[in-house]
Amino acid sequence: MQEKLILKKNPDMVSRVIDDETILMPLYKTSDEINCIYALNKVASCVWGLIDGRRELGEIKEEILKVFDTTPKEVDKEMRGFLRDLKEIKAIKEG
Amino acid sequence: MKAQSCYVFWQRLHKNAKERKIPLRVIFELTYRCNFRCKHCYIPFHYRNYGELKTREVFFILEQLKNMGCLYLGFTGGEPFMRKDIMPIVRYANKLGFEIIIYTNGSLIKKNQIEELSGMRINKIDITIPAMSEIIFERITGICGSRDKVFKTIGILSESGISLGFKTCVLKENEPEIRKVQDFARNLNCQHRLDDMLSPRLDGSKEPYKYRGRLENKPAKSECELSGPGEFTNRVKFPNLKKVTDIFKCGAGTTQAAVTPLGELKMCLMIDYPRYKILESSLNDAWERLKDFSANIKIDGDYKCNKCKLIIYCKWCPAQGWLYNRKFTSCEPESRKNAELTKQLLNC
Repeated sequence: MQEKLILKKNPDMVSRVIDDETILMPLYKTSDEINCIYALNKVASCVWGLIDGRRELGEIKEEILKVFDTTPKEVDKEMRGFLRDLKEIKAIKEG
Repeated sequence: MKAQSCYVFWQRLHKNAKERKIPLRVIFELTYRCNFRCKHCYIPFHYRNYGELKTREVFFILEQLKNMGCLYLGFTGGEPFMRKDIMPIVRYANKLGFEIIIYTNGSLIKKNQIEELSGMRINKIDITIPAMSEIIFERITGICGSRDKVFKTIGILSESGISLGFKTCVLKENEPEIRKVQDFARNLNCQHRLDDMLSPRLDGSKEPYKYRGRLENKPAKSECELSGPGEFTNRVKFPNLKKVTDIFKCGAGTTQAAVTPLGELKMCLMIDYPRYKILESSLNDAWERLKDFSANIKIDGDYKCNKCKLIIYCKWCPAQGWLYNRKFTSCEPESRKNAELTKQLLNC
């Protein structure tokens, strides 16, 4: 994972917290996936909340390690997969 | 991220919302005004002069709905496109991340509005089609030229890629037209709902009963399940319950509610009491009061559904009882008559 990388959220992807569950929804029709809703688990939800166009990925990782009972290796793996997914659905971009 | 079916997601969300009493589904009446004059409408004509919220007040309530966990939002009226600020409102709701359905008569939607809506996250535009024939259509709406306007809109909408749905109220005047409307919807590959349960008006007037029609043909299973005051009521057949503790199977007062054009929170479109003023306190406060009210409705001696053999054919809901004689639990004779007829049709 590129620890120094800074990511920005796509403003056309809105996030909602409903009953402690974070969901992501595209606002406009950019693809056939307009009707998709993406539900995030607790760790993913926390990562999403920390992506703010200022924090580096390394800092986000540290925050996750503070909150969840897990290992740096595990966080690396999970975050890599999650960030790849977010890029795929155009929810984030490199800032 | 793992892909999950909408059904699984919805089931989980709904289950949690029910347990924690989150207003997941809300229908927002933006205005009582309407350019049609349908005689069977449940909104009394004099309501049209009641006034409505200002744009910024609508925005304020939408923000609160978002914060309280509402996901499924329906805009209705009256006719929502009577409001000049309808597009700013829909735009704002879209940005807040609601799953939006717009219920409309379709006659006032402009081409440029459709273009903009087609780029947004609109789940569905739901249009009421009273009939295919111009004469019958306009006899029902009371407005000359209304049929052409509605069908012109439908034509543009169907090419725009927006998901469309149709609804028809079963009236004496349009009985022979029902199948034609259904065929029209099928040809466009759109959902069609039948409402054969015209209700008394919100002020208690039973005049709409006079216009109620009947389904002459054997109704399809889906028609039995989907008809009613609106799909937001999510009708569920009553099981043979031994003890009924909650008559609001639709979730009114627990997972769903309605907002009036004056900014009042109420249980559903058809139940006009109680109404709590959101702007005088907050949506949260109004919701707490509504939940309390709903939870304290007692099942009394009037409630007969748990012993009634017609229950599987019946579309009664507490709103029918309320509009009939201001009792949530009473058996409304028209629902009963309808259930008997449905039983005959399904068994013949």
